[in-house]
Amino acid sequence: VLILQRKIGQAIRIGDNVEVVVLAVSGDHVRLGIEAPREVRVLRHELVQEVEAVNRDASAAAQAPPASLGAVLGAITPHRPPPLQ
Amino acid sequence: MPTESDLPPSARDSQQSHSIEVLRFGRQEPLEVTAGEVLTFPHGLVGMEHLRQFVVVEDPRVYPCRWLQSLQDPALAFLIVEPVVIAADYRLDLPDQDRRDLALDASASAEPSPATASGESPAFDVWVIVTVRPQPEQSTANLLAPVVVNRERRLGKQVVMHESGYSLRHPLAAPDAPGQNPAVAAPAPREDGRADPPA
Repeated sequence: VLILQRKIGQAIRIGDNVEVVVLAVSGDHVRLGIEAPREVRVLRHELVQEVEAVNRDASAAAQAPPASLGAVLGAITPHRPPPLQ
Repeated sequence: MPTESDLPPSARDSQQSHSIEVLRFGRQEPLEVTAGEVLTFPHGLVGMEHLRQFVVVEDPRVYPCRWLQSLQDPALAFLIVEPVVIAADYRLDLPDQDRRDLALDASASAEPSPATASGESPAFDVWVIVTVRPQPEQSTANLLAPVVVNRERRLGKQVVMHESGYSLRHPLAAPDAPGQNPAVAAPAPREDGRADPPA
């Protein structure tokens, strides 16, 4: 792991075209400015973890659907009832 | 009608099928998979990057949902549904990188409409993953990170639309959720028409 020390207003550059600037520090909050090309997606780490958690929950629920499945499907069924089994 | 031997090798390959044993409702059951319907997810799903091969399976038992079935892990599947069923005004915003990953050119429509007026199909399908909870009203759909599939190229990706304002856990039947399916909840009461006080 590379560890760098930066002051407010100083930046680091990642690769050829990503720049991260320290904009402000207040208590345990750091405000960062990130300049990157459109195709580089910048996501908060927690968001990625949340998507992972939702995927895990969804797959676990699909593996053994609860008895509520019928009610849930009925609630989202558009226009016509589900085909007979 | 060409016989199978008349077809070029690629078409024949795409029609080859095999059977796998998948887990449905806690029980094993066979699923016939045709090579041509296999979807490749070069990046897997978020948090499941190793799972690259899926098929979308129709099943009357889960209508209007379908299964997004992993071929590498037969016990792993997701319930997916067209977002329009959950949120009539759902909008897909595909960043450039995602378009590239899906081999979609920039001219591809960003509207996940089921079909255009001319009957022409869009280049891709959009699905949202559903989480069914024991309490039906706690069941949710992941509108923030839909699964997008380039139908022609058989490529898929889970797209994280972090600036969309959509929820990872959008209630399926919340009475006050925007973009709800009107069939799900009671009609929203009209505001009483009180206007903002004049400035």
